Amino acid sequence: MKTPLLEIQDLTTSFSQSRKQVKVIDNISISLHAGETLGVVGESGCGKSVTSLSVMRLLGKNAQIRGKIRFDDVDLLALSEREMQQVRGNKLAMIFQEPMTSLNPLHTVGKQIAEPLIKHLKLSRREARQRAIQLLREVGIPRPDEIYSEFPHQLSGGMRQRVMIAIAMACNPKLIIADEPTTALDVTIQAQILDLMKRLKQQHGTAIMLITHDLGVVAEMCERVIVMYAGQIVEEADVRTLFRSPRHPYTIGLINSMPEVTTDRERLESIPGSVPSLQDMPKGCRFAPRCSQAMEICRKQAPDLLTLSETHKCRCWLYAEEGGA
Amino acid sequence: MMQPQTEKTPLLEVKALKKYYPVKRGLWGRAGVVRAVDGVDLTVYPGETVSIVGESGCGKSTTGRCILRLIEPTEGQIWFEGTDISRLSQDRLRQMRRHMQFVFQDPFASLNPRKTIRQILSDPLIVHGIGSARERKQRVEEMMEVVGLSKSHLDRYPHEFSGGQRQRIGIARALILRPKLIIADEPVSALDVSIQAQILNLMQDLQREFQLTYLFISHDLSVVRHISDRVAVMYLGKVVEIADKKSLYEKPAHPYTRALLSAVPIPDPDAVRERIILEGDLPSPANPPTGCTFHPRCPSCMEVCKTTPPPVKEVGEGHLIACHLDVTG
Repeated sequence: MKTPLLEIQDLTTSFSQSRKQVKVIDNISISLHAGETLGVVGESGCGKSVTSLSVMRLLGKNAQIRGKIRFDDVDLLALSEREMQQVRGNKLAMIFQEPMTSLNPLHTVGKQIAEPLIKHLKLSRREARQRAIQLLREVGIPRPDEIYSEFPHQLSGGMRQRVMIAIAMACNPKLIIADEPTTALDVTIQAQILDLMKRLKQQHGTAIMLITHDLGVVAEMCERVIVMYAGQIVEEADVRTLFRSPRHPYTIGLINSMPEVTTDRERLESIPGSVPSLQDMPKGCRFAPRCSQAMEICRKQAPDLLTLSETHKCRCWLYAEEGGA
Repeated sequence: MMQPQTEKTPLLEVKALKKYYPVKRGLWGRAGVVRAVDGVDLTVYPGETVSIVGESGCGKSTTGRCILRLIEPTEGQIWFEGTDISRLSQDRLRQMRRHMQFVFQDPFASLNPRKTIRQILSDPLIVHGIGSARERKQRVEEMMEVVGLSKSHLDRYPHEFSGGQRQRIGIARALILRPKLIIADEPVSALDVSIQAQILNLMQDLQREFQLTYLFISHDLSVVRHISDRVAVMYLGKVVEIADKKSLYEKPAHPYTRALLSAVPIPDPDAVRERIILEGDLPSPANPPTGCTFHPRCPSCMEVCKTTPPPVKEVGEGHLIACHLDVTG
């Protein structure tokens, strides 16, 4: 088997908060192959964004990252900040949720796209300008020559997200981490952006780690899915298995609580209660207090991430016999 | 869910509602107007849920706020139980508001952080002079339980609650006056799906228990399908299509509605997607396109659409569209 493009092993990220360490993600292992699209889903506070920021090493000084992150045969956690800068925006790029706050309002759009080209690919200013305009055209921006000299505030939300994608694509990265790339956009604009991401992926073979709370987006874009809850991976499967036969009660609850645009449902199944706070994690399974199928053991002992089949993993005591071997 | 009967009198009737905002362009520039809401007609019958759906900037929230006169409409009539509230004095209006309440989108910004939940829920009763202190206390405690919170939490402050719990408080505050109509502006869009489902279920239960009528404003087509009896689709300040839920979702007639529905990602990896991708962005309401305002993005645009505003046609029973196309619902 080929070595994965990105391999995260036992990643634990904690933050110091008034002399205490708060674990935000706990022992996460993810592998992603070249050209693959992996979805990471979960609700607010599940640690999906911290996972991506840990990989990019964009967390502040009070974050402690333990574990291993190998990307393209390099141990990212062993790099100095200067070496990391050679990776970021080059082979490994990121698209953020909020295109208004993640673009620099004081620089023109063009300058922001040209920057990585000059820095990483050592293009001259003129070459960078040409390439930037070409990138703007590629992401579907009308009048790319004019837009090149405009500022982010002159563009609409959808246009700004296209610019973000152009910046991420600039150095032809091997992996793009997209953190809720369409959440701030209207549906018709979201459709345009998802379409664009699919097209670029096909053309360039870029791998995508897509972080989202929207199962619809996952079904449409991803090949494999990881479901996170309270800082842990609770289920991992290929996309068809996840939607056809989800196993973890949280995943099942999540799917059943979604209203659908194509069918009518008399009543939504909701998951009672809310996500536990990081300071006060339940002792056993973290989902047990909200789980309708919780057993004695669930409240006492934390379940492991069990392998149910070659492509399916689940962290739940219900399947202890099946996957325990 | 109740179907509007043919002979029923409407609870709310909005006629030709307009809200224009003046804008100045440049330093000495001529004054222009932003047509945030541009001639909306809407009828809501008792006991039903009518939704207004559309993308950002389409005027759905402004419409909702104008109906309660939280924003003063520029023109139009708003009939609520036979009274045109667009002409009422502030005093009379305040009395009317007892029957029509608002639930806001952001559960973090719409509760006063310096008041306890007890104060937040008692205030509407005090303003409207309802009950003695003891009766008010009892009503507040009852209401907490109705929305699924414990009365032992009454002396806490809003920041001590999660987003979903805060939205329950927002609903309790709207409900405490026993209104007939609740206008809810994106009440679940700030919430996670599992919490969203809790709030939607709560709203449906309350509707049954208190015979409420909802005007539900949302950008989320899936949520709207779930909660509504009838749906109005807005684009650039105008209603482009209105129908009962079934016709709208199964036989959408307006090209915008069709594109909008096709754009929603379906949580099924095997779903067949025939997506209509709309070109471009929403035009600015300060400078709307001529003719039909949707024509620059419309995949079925004809010559006439560029010059003449579209007529309103009935394509099925109670199914209206504003479009030049010859469509049958």
